[in-house]
Amino acid sequence: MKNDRKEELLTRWMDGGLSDEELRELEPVLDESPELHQERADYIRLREDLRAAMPAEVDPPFPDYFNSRLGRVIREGSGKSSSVESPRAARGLNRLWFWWMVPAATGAVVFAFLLGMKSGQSANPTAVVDSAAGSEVYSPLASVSTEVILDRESNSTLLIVEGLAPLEDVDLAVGGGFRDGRHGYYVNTEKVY
Amino acid sequence: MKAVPLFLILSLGLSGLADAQDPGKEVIGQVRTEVLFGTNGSGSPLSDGISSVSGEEKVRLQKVAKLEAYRNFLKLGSVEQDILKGYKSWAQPLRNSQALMLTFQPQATIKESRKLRLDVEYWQKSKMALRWDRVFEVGKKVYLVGPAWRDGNLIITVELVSLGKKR
Repeated sequence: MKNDRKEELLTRWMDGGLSDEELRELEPVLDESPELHQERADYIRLREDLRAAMPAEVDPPFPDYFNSRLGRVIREGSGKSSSVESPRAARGLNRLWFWWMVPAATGAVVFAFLLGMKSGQSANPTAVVDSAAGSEVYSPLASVSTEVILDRESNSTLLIVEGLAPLEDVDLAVGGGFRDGRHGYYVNTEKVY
Repeated sequence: MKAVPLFLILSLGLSGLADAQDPGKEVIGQVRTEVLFGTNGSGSPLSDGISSVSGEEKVRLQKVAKLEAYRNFLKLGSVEQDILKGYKSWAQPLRNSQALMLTFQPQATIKESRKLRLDVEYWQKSKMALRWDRVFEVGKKVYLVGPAWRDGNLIITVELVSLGKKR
């Protein structure tokens, strides 16, 4: 039996997915390596333990932020695909677009999930996502609401945040006088994520 | 006796080499963060280290309904720092306080010149209060009208000062 075929059958055998005919085809291999039965038993036990330990469904943290980011990826992609020139080219590009979109959407899902996990905050159903002018604002605090204002005259953007807790003098260390700040730490994100 | 300097030279050389080989440390821009204070007071009791914003900026801020009642806008602190390609940068605009902190994490440099997409987080008293994903353009300030303090309001500004290495 060719190695590729053997690997395929063994993989499906591990998951209990072989037909009777395929099982007969694999029998010589199993007879040659009886230790595979023990490995399969270990694998099944591990799988069952994991199933018992993990919930069947886990909501991503910050689901609204996650959805908004995913939506943006899709919107941006739709914008790019609208520039096709002919129906034939459009069909080709749509196919390309589809294959490009699958990993992109998956990447967006994973990225948004990791982004949420990284901040260590719990999912908050009342959290706020505000989108304006190609930017997205998110707060995990239920008390916070935001509004983005574009001042076209000065060409600047203002983000109005309501609901933040007021600060006290002690928070700003007023007693020491105000002095310009300094940059804080640089955290390597490529190695963290 | 010779082993110590040799060890130092080697370790310093190797750490320098490691830094040089970390592509995440590439400087892709500089960002300036300021903390402003909108108030009806004169700010004189605060005095040490503060200054007023420009008249143009004052007019801009007074257009916002939440700030229009304030006569004075004072700058309490500022910091300018590099944005590294593969690092999240923490900014502390008031030197003596960590109650207001911002982080900047680059997402993409836009090929159109002078733009950078950043994930900005606003942290207040050690809690992440806000995350903002937006494209910043060199020289264009963004204002975050934030928490109340004393008789007024604190405003945090973020400005992409330049792209690439500092000149």
